[in-house]
Amino acid sequence: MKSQIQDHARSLRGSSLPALATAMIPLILLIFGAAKLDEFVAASFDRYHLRVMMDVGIAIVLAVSLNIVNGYTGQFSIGHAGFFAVGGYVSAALTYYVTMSVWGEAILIETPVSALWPFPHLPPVGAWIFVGAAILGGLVAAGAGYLVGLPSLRLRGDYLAIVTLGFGEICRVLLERSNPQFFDVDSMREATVADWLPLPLGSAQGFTDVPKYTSLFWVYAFVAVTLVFAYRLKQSATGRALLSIREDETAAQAMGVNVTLYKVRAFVFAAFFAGLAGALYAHQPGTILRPLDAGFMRSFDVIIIVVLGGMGSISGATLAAVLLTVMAEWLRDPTHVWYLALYIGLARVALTPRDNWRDLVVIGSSAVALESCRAAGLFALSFPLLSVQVTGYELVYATLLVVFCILRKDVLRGVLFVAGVVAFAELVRWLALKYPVVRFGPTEIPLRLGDYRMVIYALLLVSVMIFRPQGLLGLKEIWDFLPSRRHAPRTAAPRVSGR
Amino acid sequence: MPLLEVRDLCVKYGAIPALHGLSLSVEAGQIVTLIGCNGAGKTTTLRTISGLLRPSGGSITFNGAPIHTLSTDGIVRLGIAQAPEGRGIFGNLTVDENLSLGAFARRDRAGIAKDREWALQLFPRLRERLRQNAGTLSGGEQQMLAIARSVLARPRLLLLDEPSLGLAPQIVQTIFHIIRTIREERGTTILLVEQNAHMALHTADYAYVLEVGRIAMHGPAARLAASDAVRKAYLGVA
Repeated sequence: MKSQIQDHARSLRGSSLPALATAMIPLILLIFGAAKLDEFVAASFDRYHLRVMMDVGIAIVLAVSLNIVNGYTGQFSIGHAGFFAVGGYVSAALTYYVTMSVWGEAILIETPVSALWPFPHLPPVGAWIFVGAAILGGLVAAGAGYLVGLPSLRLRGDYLAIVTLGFGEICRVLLERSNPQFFDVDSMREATVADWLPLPLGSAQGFTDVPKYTSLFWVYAFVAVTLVFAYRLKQSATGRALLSIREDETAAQAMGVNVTLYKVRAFVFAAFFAGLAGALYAHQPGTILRPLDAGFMRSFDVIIIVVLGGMGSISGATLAAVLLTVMAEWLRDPTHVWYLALYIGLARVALTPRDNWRDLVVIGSSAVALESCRAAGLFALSFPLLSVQVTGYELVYATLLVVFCILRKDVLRGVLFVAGVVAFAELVRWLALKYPVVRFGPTEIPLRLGDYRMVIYALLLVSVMIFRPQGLLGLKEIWDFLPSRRHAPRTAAPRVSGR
Repeated sequence: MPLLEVRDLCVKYGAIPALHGLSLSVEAGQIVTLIGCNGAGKTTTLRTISGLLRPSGGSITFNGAPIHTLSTDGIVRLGIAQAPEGRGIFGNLTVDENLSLGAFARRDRAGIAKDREWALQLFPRLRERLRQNAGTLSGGEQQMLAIARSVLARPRLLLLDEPSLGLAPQIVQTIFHIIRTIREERGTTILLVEQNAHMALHTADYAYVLEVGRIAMHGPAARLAASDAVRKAYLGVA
């Protein structure tokens, strides 16, 4: 009994070293993973696919950070893009103007960090400028988060949402009213105060020619920092205080939680990481920063991810960020609807009648295996069915679906489902092939299904919200679904044997 | 000097007065109960003491120092914990996390571990359900959790708001038994707000009867329980 108390006391206290180690070890492993990803993956994909992979990472940072306010603390913020833009513009202006004033032009600085001789593989000087600028951008965004957090002292629900919306729009308008950018050193030297104030951030035309430092490595290194921070925060006393505010603000106060202070903290944390995401975006190849990046459309993209993933779930937000970003790109090819329907069908069948982890693993791994085969061009058998070529992979997916339905003793529904999906997808495809152009008298309207991808995307979101209003993972984390840990606690509870 | 002294307390909801000049005092180590009908102002009194409502007049002193200008978390830090009305359980957090939040204002980890063990001894049901979401507990268990959670703040004064609300008679007995145990084992002073006058007067040392925002009667609980007025109005005895 006494030793139990001591054990528990020890587990609560924990020396600072193990606590630091538990945070640092996963972080170092993840950053190492990011470096390896950059090394192996970056070489074998084209610029388009690399761009999508970076977009996924940026979406993860944005979603996981917004989750701290909307998910953990239960405050409804719809101005996240404001923090994103603040971080992006601040960091972009720093790298652009610092590089220009020191090196004469705003280009990538590849000078090695030769002073640090024992580490020859360290990133070059320019990359450190980028990281410094990103952190500064994050800090300025965090300052903005503090200012936006202050009104949330009194406001709840819709009212707070309006304040945050206003913040994003203020950012957008201020950026539109900024001065034009300086494109060379001379104009920078000759500039008067009137050219510097308001700051030369490119006005409504956007801020261009920022050195392109963002790589897969930096994106996923920042993702790693964000994920580890969000996870550690959720496990900490601060995180519990945030969750208690979401659950019951009055009761949280009664526990001694300074509700005001913690709400502001949530905003500051979220804004910092949104600022980092903005910095990554600003330095991404092919990006022009525009005032619209602070607008509410981008905020809503992030909110959709958080809601779809499940409020407060880190893994849910990550999963939804990956799914939605990839899907928006993937649907550019309308034939992908076919696969999408089958994926959803498989997931749906596997998740009935209860969340079945093992089936999902089987389906997930077989889908990955099949997609890899396809990418490598293996088993490329195809034969005509109705009007189009059906490949072996599509057949395998359909078979998988039927097998699962049989295992579920729900054959009829399974067959009907497959038949329905196939019929609908084939009909759409057949129509698209047969009538590429719709004629109304003399006018011809080209019918490009790819143009309607956002409609399909929106329909999918609607159906997810109807069938799973709590989001993909609800309030849980993905590992809570593992069979052995169904009732595992989110915090480390001491093992106390019952008497 | 009493541990808690409330003097001429006035509280308004907008323009509508809820308390007009309420005074009461709680001696250290006592269980004091505040009984009265619906709308008499019992919960308002507790919420004002804990800083969730601001008084429009009067004063509250705890341990000799005025507290009616402090924030709720400041008051919790001084040693006044409460189990709020309607239990205020964090339904989507585990029982264990709820208990940790009870000790939120404390920094002495060894002391928290010890108190946690003690609270789980008081409520063995909670030990069985440590990893369950608090929202899945039964009403009685939630009330137990609310009390256990407030005890973990190691308060000098514990405010309990209607711990018997909506519970089966047998569980009410258990809860009141535990309230007495907390006072006996910890010496915690308890201010108990109740509609169940019978159980409250049976448990408390001293009682105040509240009628529409004023103290109508007060005295040792046993004496009030025997008085005709209280027996008629609150104990349902003709």
